[in-house]
Amino acid sequence: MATTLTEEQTPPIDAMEVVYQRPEALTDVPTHYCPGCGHGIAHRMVGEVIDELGIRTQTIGVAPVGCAVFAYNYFNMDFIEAAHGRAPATATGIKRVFPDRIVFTYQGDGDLAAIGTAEIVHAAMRGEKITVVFINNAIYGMTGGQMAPTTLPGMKTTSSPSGRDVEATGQPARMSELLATLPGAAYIVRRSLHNVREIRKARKAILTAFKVQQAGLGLSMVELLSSCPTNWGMTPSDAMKWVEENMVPVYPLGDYKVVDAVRDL
Amino acid sequence: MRGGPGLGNIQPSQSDYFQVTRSAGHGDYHPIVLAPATVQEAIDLTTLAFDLADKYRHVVIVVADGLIGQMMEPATLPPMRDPHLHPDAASWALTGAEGRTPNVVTSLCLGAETGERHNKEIQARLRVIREAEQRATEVFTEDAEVIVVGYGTAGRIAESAVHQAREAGLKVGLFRPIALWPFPERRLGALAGRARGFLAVEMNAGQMVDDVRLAVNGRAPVAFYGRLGGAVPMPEEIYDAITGVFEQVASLPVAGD
Ligand SMILES: Cc1ncc(C[n+]2csc(CCOP(=O)(O)OP(=O)(O)O)c2C)c(N)n1
Ligand code: SF4
Repeated sequence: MATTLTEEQTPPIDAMEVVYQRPEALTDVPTHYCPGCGHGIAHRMVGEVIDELGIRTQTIGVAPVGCAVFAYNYFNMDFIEAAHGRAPATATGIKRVFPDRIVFTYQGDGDLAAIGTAEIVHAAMRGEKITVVFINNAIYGMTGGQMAPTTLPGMKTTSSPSGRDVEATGQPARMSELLATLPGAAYIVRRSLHNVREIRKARKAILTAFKVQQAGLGLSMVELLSSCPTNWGMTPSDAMKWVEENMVPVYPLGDYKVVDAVRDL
Repeated sequence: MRGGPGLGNIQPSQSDYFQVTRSAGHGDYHPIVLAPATVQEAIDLTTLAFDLADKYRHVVIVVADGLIGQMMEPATLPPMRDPHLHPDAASWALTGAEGRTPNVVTSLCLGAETGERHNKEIQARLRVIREAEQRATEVFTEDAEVIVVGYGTAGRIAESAVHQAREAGLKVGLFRPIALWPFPERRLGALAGRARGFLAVEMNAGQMVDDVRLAVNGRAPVAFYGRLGGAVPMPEEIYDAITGVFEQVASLPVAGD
């Protein structure tokens, strides 16, 4: 239950301690994300982790095509916008020119698991020392909620109005499981953003993923199950429940690949 | 470039002239296009390509036909250079925002107004490139009545034919574009005031010939000789085409008469 302090109970401003504020790695710009969208949570966590590691001025981000296309407006660091799905290729170029910088991509499932499948698979095969933040909301958000390779069986989207037919369109693409099979991948985990406990775990994984890159161990990726209340046609809280009840069973949370050296970080 | 369309073959061709000179993707622009005729030129133009790309922040394509790609000949490598940022790059390069506000590189312009403004900037840059980066070499053009125009391997073979024709007493020259975009229209246009006829030679059905006609702008007839689908012309075929142009222009009044 929320409590409200009376005027006498409220300490004077200069006696108050700041316990929560915008990370320096994020700009002071309101995002365009819908209420209840997972992108905002994910941005915040990536920003916090970059601050925690003190790498903001050494980091170069690569924005996707999708709802996060304007990520470069929200992250307070050097950024480049890649063509749809090509963020891992762009990141490869930057990292190879500046091996001492930290390079990360931020990609949706339409971006990473559809048009950009070849790029992420080959970046992992080559063992590119980049970090990938992969937002899986089981749908193409930006373009109006079309079916993605990650759409759940039977799930209704604007391009599968009777529900995804797995006979005709196959089963959901499990990218973490797929990439974990590749030797160049060092750290591949799946987390979720549907409640506070999971969000904390996700934050920890993002921190580890960046440390994996700092240690030069190979490609690191954190897949985040995320909500799209707008295109799912749900309230924000129903969307969070839907992630837990429907997405987690299809996309089990866990560590899919953690090379031994990660445990020493 | 290889013979096409579709899977085609791996024989030398110049069938992608339109594709590379008109745009390298969607959007209203030309890439800078450089066409080597020798292995040495392929090396030198590749170095130049990186420098031009840096200088103009623009796409540069080195377009070699399959013969250049499959050929061996002696060449000298330029001295190795350390990779370095272009002096202007500091203002936009993504190096990490240490001690400065972040740099963002994007071509996303969602509004029509910003899109048009962005495109006008690109067009202004293309005008500068068009002025500064026209490139070609010439052989015997000073007194030539007929000028053969060809690039890459076709240009190189045409040069043999031009030498044969000179030995036979024909006043013929060669104009070999090295930049396909910007097309060396200024110099070709100047030559059009003097020469009586042109012959475009390509390993395609006639693509660069359009640019030759634009540069000549009706001041002289422009003939075309091409081989298709991976076929490479012999000097003798081009020689015959040259004599054909001489016959054609013989009946025309000489400029200034
Ligand atoms: C080459 C190309 N193809 C298609 C598109 C259209 N497009 C824009 S966003 C998008 C899908 C984005 O979905 P996702 O990656 O899941 O991100 P979300 O919007 O859900 O965050 C598509 C197909 C494009 N911009 N570029
Ligand atoms: S459409 Fe979906 S993914 Fe896009 S901002 Fe809205 S809720 Fe987020």
